Amino acid sequence: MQNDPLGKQGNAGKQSDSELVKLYLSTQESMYFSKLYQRYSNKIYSKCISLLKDEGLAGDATQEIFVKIFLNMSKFGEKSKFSTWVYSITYNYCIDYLRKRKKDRKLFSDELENPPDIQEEVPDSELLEMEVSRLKRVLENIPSGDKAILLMKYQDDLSIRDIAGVLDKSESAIKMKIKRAKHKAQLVYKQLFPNG
Amino acid sequence: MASRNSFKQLEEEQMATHPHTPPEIEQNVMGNMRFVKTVGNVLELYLPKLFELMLALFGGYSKDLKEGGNKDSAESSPEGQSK
Repeated sequence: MQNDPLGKQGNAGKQSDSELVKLYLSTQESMYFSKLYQRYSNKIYSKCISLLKDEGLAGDATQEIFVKIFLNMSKFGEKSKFSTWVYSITYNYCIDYLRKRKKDRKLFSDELENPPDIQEEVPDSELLEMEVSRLKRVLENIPSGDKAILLMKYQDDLSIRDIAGVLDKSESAIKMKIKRAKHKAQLVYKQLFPNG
Repeated sequence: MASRNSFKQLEEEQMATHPHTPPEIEQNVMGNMRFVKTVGNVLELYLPKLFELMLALFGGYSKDLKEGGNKDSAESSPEGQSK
């Protein structure tokens, strides 16, 4: 048997994410990384498909995201949950990719030259309680950046601070982006489903 | 906050549509990992020696080389090696 200082090789399935990270860093055994891969690969892959809208691109993205995770594992400082860190890397990669691909096109509603004026904030419940099939259509029809920011907040429960880290913006800028993304989603919903 | 979360339901639906990632992704990730580890090990093993050798070639002083030299030849002087 190879180096297993904590004697936990057989219990890898029961370890928490941060325990697996510690075990991997101390032993360099690929089985611990493999366990993390099994836990997150499907989520990351489906997130990439949802954001990049192409299975081939999503496969390449998933691969590169896991290589990034592996290369930066020692920098994971447990300031946040491992899942939050992993999703941050995922969104960061996808948003970067979309920015490069779209070049001059704006990714977020608030990057438009004349962003719409918003007086009232759309209540969270309006989005959270939307019929799933309708939500899917709404997300397909809003700018990719708005979609990503709504997924970060409502699907992966990333904090404003985490989102600010992903997008390299201030927390107040993120609050404004979320507000505009919700407004855009509401607008698109009304266009797609005028009868409510 | 509302108890229902359509975003999470949507995620579950999407994951059900793609229940498994293509196996070649895992193979490639693990392959990359092995490659990086191997390169890391090689660098860890040979880079300090290479650095010492370069230092010695350019007339610098290397404690390790000096100690190694003394073991090999007790008669040689340390001044001679550092030149």
